[in-house]
Amino acid sequence: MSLTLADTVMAAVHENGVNDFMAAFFRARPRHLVYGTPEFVPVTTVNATSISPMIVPTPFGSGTIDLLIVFAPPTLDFNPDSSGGTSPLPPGPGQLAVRTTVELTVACRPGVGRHEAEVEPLSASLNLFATGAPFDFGVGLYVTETIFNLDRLEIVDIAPDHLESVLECLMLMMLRAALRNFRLPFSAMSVGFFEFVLKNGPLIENDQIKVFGDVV
Amino acid sequence: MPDILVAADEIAVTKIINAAEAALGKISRPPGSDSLGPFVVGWGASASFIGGTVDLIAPDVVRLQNISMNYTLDFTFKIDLEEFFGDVYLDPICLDLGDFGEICTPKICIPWPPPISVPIPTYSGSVTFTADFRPKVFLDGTQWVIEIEIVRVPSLEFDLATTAILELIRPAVATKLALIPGIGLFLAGAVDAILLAIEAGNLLGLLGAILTPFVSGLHFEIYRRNRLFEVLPASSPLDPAVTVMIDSLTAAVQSTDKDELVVTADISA
Repeated sequence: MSLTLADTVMAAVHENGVNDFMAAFFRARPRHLVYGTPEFVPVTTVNATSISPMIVPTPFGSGTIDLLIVFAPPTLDFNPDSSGGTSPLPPGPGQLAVRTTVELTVACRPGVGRHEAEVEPLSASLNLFATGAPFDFGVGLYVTETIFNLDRLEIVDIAPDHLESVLECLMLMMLRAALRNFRLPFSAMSVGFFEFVLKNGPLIENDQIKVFGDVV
Repeated sequence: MPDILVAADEIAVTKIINAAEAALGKISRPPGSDSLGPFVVGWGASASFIGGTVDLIAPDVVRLQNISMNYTLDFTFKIDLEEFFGDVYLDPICLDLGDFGEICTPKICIPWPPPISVPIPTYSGSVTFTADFRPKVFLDGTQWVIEIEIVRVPSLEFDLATTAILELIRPAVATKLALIPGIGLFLAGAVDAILLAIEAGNLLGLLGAILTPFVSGLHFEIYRRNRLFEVLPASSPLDPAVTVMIDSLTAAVQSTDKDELVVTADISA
């Protein structure tokens, strides 16, 4: 069977290639993996994104609850599952799986009174397993980019289950937001060999993401 | 499995190569000169390529059918009339004066001017041919390049051009010769003699010699990208450009229920 099927061009990127793209993306733009309130990230830079803290009353006026969220560069696995059966959330047909870790740090202020300003950072790391699907993203008249959208996330070994569900939903939303910044232009998927109008895809099969179309 | 695999069928490759023909544009050869019969002809030539359809043949042939080479030729003939015609004399004409003998005009030698240059109006023509090309992948400094390069030079037909160019030569030579004092009686014969000396066969050979080099070694560049490939341009100081390294690149023809040009690439972050 032909590679282009009913269309005239096809571009396919293996999961290893997408992981190379992703590694390059987050190496150039690490701020999309690092989010912190001003206690940790005073201003947004190329290395970290500053987010708003929660404002709370203190005996001396108001204070903040500060967080630092650092994701490890994620790795993608396109269906079929390449984990050798070790992933708690393998990709189903047409799906991708994402694996990463997140380190959560809270600027803990356990003291009271005049000690309330003293910070004791507390950190914890969690392994995250998520699944999702690609979707095309239009720029101008043409669809030109693929974005990966997560729909489910699993954190293993947290009890009780309700806490696990709360954390999973929180992490799903945060990782989804982080990953939405990663865009894979079609021009990159064809290493610039041609520009084309999307006719079919993106679809995931055989450890690849594929797009089909006609040359512009 | 390669990191990236790109396939294009014959319809797409035709578009890609037609675009490469347009990108190549008009190419020129350095002006030259050659013999044409007993004359020396200076020439200038340029050519461009357009059209054609692609027939892909595994494992590595890109056959380009009915591609047109549009060309333009400029000729200037250098004619040394003295060398060509030799010395021409008007024999003496004598008048018999009976007992007084005869009186004769002197033998008159027609003085030829120095060698003349005869510019021929620019000729534009077109020749259609079919040729096999092969994909060629290489690094040009810091850039990956994919070209298709002609395998064998096809036979080019210039018969119509030969006839047309001879028709341009005739009035051009006649106009130039007409300026020579005393040529009037001989003009038509001189033009015929020059055209006869040129010979269609010689002109056909000259056209082949001038225009075939445009086709031999012909290659169309269908891909050129930096080895350090920009995936995303910088969108702000906070989001600089994203690049990957293209470590290797291949191009081949694959035949299944369709014939496709398949390009593979391996990249690294």
